[in-house]
Amino acid sequence: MKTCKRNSRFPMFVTLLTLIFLYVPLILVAVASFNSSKYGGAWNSFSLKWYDRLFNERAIWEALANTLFIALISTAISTTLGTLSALALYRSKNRLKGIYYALIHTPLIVPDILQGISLLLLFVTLINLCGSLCRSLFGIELELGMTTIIIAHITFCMSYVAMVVLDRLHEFDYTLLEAAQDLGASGMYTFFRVTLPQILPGIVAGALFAFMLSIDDFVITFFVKGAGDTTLPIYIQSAMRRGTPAVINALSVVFLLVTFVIVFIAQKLVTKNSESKK
Amino acid sequence: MKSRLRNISNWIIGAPSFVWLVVFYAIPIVLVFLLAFKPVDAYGGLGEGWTLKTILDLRNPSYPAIIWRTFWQGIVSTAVCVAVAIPISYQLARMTSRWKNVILLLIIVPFWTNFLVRIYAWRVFLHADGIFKNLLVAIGLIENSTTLLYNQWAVLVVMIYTYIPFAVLPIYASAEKFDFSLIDAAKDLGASSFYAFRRVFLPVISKGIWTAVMVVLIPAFGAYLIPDLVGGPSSELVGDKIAQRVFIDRNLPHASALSALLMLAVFLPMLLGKWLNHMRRRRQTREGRT
Amino acid sequence: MGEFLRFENITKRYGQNTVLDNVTLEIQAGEVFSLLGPSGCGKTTLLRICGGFEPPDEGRVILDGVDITNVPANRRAVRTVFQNYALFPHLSVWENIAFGLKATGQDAKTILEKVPKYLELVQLTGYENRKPGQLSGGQRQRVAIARALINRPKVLLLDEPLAALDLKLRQRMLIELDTIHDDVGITFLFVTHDQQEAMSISDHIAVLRNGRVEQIGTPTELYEAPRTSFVAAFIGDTNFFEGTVETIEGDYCTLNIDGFPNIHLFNDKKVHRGEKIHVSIRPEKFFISAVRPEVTDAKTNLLHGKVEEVIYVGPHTRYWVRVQDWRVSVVQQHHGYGLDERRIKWDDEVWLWFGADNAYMLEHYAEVDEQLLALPDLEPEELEAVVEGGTQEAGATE
Repeated sequence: MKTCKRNSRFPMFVTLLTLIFLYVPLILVAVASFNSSKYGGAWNSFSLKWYDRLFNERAIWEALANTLFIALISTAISTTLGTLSALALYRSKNRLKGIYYALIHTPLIVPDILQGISLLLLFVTLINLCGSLCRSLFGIELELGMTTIIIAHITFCMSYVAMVVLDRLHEFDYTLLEAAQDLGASGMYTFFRVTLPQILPGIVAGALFAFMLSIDDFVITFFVKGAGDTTLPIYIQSAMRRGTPAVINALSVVFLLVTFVIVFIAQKLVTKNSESKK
Repeated sequence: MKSRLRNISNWIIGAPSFVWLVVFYAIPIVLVFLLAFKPVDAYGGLGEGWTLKTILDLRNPSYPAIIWRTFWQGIVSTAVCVAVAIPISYQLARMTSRWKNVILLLIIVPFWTNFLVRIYAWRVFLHADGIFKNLLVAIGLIENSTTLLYNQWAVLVVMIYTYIPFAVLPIYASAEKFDFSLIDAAKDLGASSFYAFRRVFLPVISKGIWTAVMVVLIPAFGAYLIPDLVGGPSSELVGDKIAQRVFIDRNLPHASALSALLMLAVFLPMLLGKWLNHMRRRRQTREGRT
Repeated sequence: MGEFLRFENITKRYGQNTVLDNVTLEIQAGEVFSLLGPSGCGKTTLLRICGGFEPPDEGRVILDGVDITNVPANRRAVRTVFQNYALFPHLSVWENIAFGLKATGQDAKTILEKVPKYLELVQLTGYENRKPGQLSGGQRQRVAIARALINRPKVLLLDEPLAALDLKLRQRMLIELDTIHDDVGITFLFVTHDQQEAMSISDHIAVLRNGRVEQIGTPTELYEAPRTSFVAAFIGDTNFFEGTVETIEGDYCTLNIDGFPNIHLFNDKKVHRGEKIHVSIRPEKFFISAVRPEVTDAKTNLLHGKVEEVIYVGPHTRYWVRVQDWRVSVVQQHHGYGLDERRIKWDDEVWLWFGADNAYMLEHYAEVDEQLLALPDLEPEELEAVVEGGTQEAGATE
């Protein structure tokens, strides 16, 4: 314990300062959300009216429903595709592997605005090329909307899932597969009884990650959405462009609380897991 | 025969995502480069034929300033985030008490809090009628007429604010695996704390630091929402310009030309780094053999 | 019983590196057979070929009269205890042991019957609900053994099963493995780099080196009658002497060694006069005394030298004695406290003697094998070269 005293205080100082920097604006928002005054400058009186307004705002509920709908569908599809691609990547030794890996890995690096615009360009080109054909043949109108949003979300979530699962697969002890085979298990049996249970935490983590990313996304959605589509981030942004409406204070606090609870639970689960492993 | 079966099953499980990524990721990127050579039609759509006009338009005198600003803001915010993240990670990795988990939680929460909420908080914080502004005026640091929002400093601060957790997490992940008895060993050999930190701790966690640089620098280059919401006309970045061309001018070719530029700015250094790494490794193996 | 498991001309290459070079082995039913050799000798590869995890480039594996070279691992009546045990971390002890039964589609009744029996065999009754993470190293090892045995394999492969355990536990598990082997009567193919492990458990041992079989035999044969300098030096410690046969008298001959007294030895290789040969004499074959013993037997060799080093190790003491130009390694058991040999000190003049039957002629000698000895008899600069060579080798295997 003597060594602790000799350690520099500087890192702790930076840490505390950063935490203050991170939380002062958020705390201010939380305080403002209970202020009956419309502008945060002066304290008027304690009030829950913004929360009341928040829960009675129909547009928010609609945006929330859209957000959850998009998040659920894109999480389900991207988790399936991402897990499969991780498995394929893990097992393949083929020359295509490099290209495949780049396809899955680089979307994590490309800034979201580029993903947004490139998908927009794809959809616009497709509508230009086959829009009229589809209309006359099937009576379907090709246009930007929920479908394009979901496609976009699946695309960027998939890579995250694949990477998380692939990480898990790389940690996974390859001799376990040999052991299963050695004990007489077929390929299928080994997959369902050994591989899948082992990578399941990775899949769940990947799915959670995908879900959070989908709920959080503004930029890509904004590029590929149709005229009337609103998700929660889109709603907040359009409200913000009009100023700093006090309802958003209340909404931010709700967001913060939900995030807090989810991260807290996730952290508890992770530490519990690593303890039981030891 | 067994390996062929394995190959086929691999194809079956790999094909859907492969096709998906080719269609919705690779082809769109190619389109970005292609459409930069298309003319615009009168209705904001794509015209017929091909043209070099859009590319030549990029010589517009307002662009160099925007590109330069995007560049230096990206570099500065990355530098600050990493500089702050290293001592934090060091501290966190060293701690063993319950406070470690609390601090970790406090850093992860902003990471997962909605991006817009975080920007919004700064709009409230820096608001013209806000408590911070009133405080600064009361101390006499600024005039009442100064605006804290809608300038490039606001953009920079909010960028640092949003990217700090991005920088902490990869560095912490490396630091957590660091064997702190190495620091004790260095001190035992007569090194000062700072010398041990610089010559032992930093090199060992360098991989985490490079990851942090990547995950901050690249989104910073593509930043669009932050300048859009807390910046003003004088603090536009490349990201804003792309969005502006899409949503306001309806000029998709122009937007793709700008995006192509940004794409090159992201991918070229990455490929270069990869190539250098490859060359170094090849040289090492060759040296190892002789 | 007869031959049961047969490796026939097995060759395996990784790129340009030949890991196994035309290896042929015959293993009897029900015996414990060890593959012994330093790391990189190909023993683990041979085991993996037997388990079906890797195909040989050439040659066949024949089990109980059937060619199983191309039978996949999950269809072979061969089970493996992996070096790191490879227990499924998400399954309990019970589920781990039952895995092989379930995977091969056995009914619930068989499982309920057999699992407790094997839990008992490895003395883990009461631990069935634990996860591998909650077990000690020795317990994990026992789960791995039970799991492999439950399908009644024809051969059990053990890949360095004791390497991860500490010394005391290793000795205890060795005895336990022996008991289990007696109980189940299955052929064990045991891979190890530890000669003591191999000696104490095996009926037969194959010493491997650089992908070739150096010698096959019982532990006693390998120790007392090593064919090559490698086997002599790898198993136990020894002294090598080089000399020319001077005279032959019946079954015995006299060897002229440069810078060393002439010695008499048993001529088991039927060498001729003038032939240059190498002999190995184990350190414990020497007797040591501060006073000159009365030697009447002509077949006893008596030497006079000076003690250069004394190392007391509890049950015995090691001496390095300078005899003319040679240094002789000698080991003396302590049969009682305060005996003569306990009083021998550094720089003392001593007498050494050994029987002519205890010097053994080698068929093949290579000077590099001297490096395997406890203290190679080399000049300082030569020793340096050996140390450097050793580190280079270690670097290459990484």
